[in-house]
Amino acid sequence: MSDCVNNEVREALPDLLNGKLSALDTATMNAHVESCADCRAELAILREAKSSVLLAPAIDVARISAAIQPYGQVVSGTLPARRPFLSSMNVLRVAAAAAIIAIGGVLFSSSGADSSRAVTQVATAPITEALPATSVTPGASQSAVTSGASVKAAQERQVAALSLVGTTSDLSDADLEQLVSELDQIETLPAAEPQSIITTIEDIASNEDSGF
Amino acid sequence: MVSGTQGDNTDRGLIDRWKAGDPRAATEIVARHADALARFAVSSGERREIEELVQDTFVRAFSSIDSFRGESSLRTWLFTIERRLMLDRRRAERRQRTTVPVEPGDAVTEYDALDNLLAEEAQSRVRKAVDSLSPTQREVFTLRVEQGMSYREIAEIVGSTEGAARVHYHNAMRAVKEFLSE
Repeated sequence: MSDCVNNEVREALPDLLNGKLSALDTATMNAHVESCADCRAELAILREAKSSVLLAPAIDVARISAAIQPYGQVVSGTLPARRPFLSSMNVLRVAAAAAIIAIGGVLFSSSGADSSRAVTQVATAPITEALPATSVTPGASQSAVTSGASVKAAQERQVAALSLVGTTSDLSDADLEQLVSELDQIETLPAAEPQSIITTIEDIASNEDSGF
Repeated sequence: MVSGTQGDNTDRGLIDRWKAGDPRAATEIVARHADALARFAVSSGERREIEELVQDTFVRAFSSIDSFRGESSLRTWLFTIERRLMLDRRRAERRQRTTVPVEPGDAVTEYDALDNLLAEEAQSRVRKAVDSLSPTQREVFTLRVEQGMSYREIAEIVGSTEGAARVHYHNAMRAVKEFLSE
């Protein structure tokens, strides 16, 4: 199947098919097509292509119209209640990301001298941070009877251990939304499901038991 | 901008009437463009929930109607929105495929049954040829042949240049011819 050498005519074949040409141009094109086998063949293909999609499903205009909110009563750029901002998947992703960062913080701190306390610090630090300085938590009771310098050193270790977690919890709504948006772009994220994180914690406990 | 009057049945006039509180104007716009949007969706390879896609297109368009400045036709703008929704849908489906196994019955849709009703063998062959095109070629070919759009409108919808749209069309036409001559 060859192509007509008249590119101008070939360019206009879809317009001829769709009735987009003036009467004069239509007459000129029809005269050419009648005398040109290549253009007749190409126009036949275009006609078949156009007619082969007429079986698109019928659309219920009334139903669609009913879904359109009156002007001024819609939130710009959003679809009505189809994709809540924090869907269950997004919540899982945020939780997974926070957990990954927390585990990373633990591993980072455990690489120092006092690795055996890393997991305990994660569990007790938020409570310690929330309570007034005079409060004593069960995890901190031993520290309370030690000297002031050692209490201060222990608090500094806790803050250092959770420094990464602290920055994520301080995210504003806008920052959190951006984080979720960026997480949406990460195709490999499902590989980091919460289940695998539990395994990692167990691995850490196992490592601690074995003396690592 | 000229405000639409009761007798103004251009897209611009209908939009102005809808903004003034006439819900029938929205219905008229939907009736005018819904079938073309459905055909574009099918031609672009969508097979499921076509009506939902068309509805989402209109809902999104009307919810951000103030961003439509009339520099292009309303239909071109609607096609642009629908195309973005289709891309979003495909991205979401790709993500789901990484975690959710496809059930044997999932591939069978209502439209597959309609596909079998294509009466003419020639139509069926041409459809297969078009379906074999790359996504971009198929979009451009569909918009040019089935919707009768100009290269300028096509470029606006697919986010490219007129020249690139023209090249995609001619490459698509060549590929269709090659497919049919095999």
